[in-house]
Amino acid sequence: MGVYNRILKKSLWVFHMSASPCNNCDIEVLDLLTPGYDLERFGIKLVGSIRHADVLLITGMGGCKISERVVRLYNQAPKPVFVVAVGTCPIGGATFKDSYSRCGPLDKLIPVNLYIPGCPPKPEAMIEGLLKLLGRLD
Amino acid sequence: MIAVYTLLFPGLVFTAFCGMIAWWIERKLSALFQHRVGPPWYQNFIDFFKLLGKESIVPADSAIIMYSVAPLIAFASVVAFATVLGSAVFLNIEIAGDLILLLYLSSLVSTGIFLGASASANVYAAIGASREIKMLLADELVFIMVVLVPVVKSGFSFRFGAVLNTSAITSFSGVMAYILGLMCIQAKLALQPFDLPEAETELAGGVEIEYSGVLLGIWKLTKAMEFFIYPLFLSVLFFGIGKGFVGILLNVLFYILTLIILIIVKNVNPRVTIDKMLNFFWKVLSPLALIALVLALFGG
Repeated sequence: MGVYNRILKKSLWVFHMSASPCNNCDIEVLDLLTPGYDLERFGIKLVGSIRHADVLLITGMGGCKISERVVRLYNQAPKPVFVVAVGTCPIGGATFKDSYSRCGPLDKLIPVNLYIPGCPPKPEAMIEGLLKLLGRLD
Repeated sequence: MIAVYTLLFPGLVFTAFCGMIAWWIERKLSALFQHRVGPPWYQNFIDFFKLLGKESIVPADSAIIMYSVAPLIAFASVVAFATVLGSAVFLNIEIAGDLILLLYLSSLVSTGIFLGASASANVYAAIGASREIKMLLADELVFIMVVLVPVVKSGFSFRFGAVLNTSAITSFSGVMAYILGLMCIQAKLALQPFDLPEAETELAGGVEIEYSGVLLGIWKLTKAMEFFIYPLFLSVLFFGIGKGFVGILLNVLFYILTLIILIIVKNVNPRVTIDKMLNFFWKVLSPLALIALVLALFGG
């Protein structure tokens, strides 16, 4: 898998999913694609369909309604797929940690490859996290 | 020899390489338009080889045979298109009526896309398929009339070799038909403002939404090859093939000019709705193409 991983790390297509977020992380994720940060220079691209994705990027605390869909999306993704959890919510729930509608944390539902904590994490932190994921592929 | 032509030189490998580079030019220029850096030149190759190693999922509800065969139909048509066009342009080999064959193959690509999308059992893919076939109906008439202008200029010959020896762009009707042809190519390549079947933000990939892995790789390769052959077809159709070093240099420059015009139009236009697109092609471009054809018939 050595050669294939070297190819894979230069072309990660990201599918962005919101699992009950407060939309704060999502705005920061969209910032990544703006000219200031330009993730396309690393070959990272936002795709519209889970069937094209290599990375499943999940924000939010994981409400009970959405958690079935998270599992379903993970099963629909063509393997190998990496799961990246953005923000504090998928880890500990942050301000929603005692909410009656919370079925998180995320790693109870699907295996997570990378956490990028922060409320919200800055785009620089996300780029560093994604580069760490790329480094882990070596 | 035919196997070599099809697989190696003007056919598969050569066209795929040039197509990936042409597509990279599109991505890089689009990035520069938005003040970004853009991907490195080998990005499309990496994307393609990555897709070959991914899992290929066939949806349970889909029409399985058509779902897997449709990308191959489109791919085979594009390879055949590239071989016929490339043999005429680079090797000076021609077959009788190859211009008609090229027109037929170009619409077969759209048919393949339509079949694959309708076989995927997905609502978005179905919308994309319906738009793809509507766009084919809209741009095909204009495209045929545009192709007829160089045919008239070269003395009513449907042999590609004869068309390549005349340069239709020097006349008024030639310039007019070339501009109309650019818009048809824009629609055939599904670039903005006519990227209705794919519509990343609206249909989430549209026609290829359910495809993954190797089959998606074949779609991407088909698209990359289209990026090379359609602008090449239009540029040699109107410019002809030059003689000597200067002539070939002018040919290359004219091809790059055609590609860059397509990319500039892509970057400065938003996506139109399907009714506007149909109205534009049927009510505005078709009469203009007819006028260009009549002008060419009267020697204008």
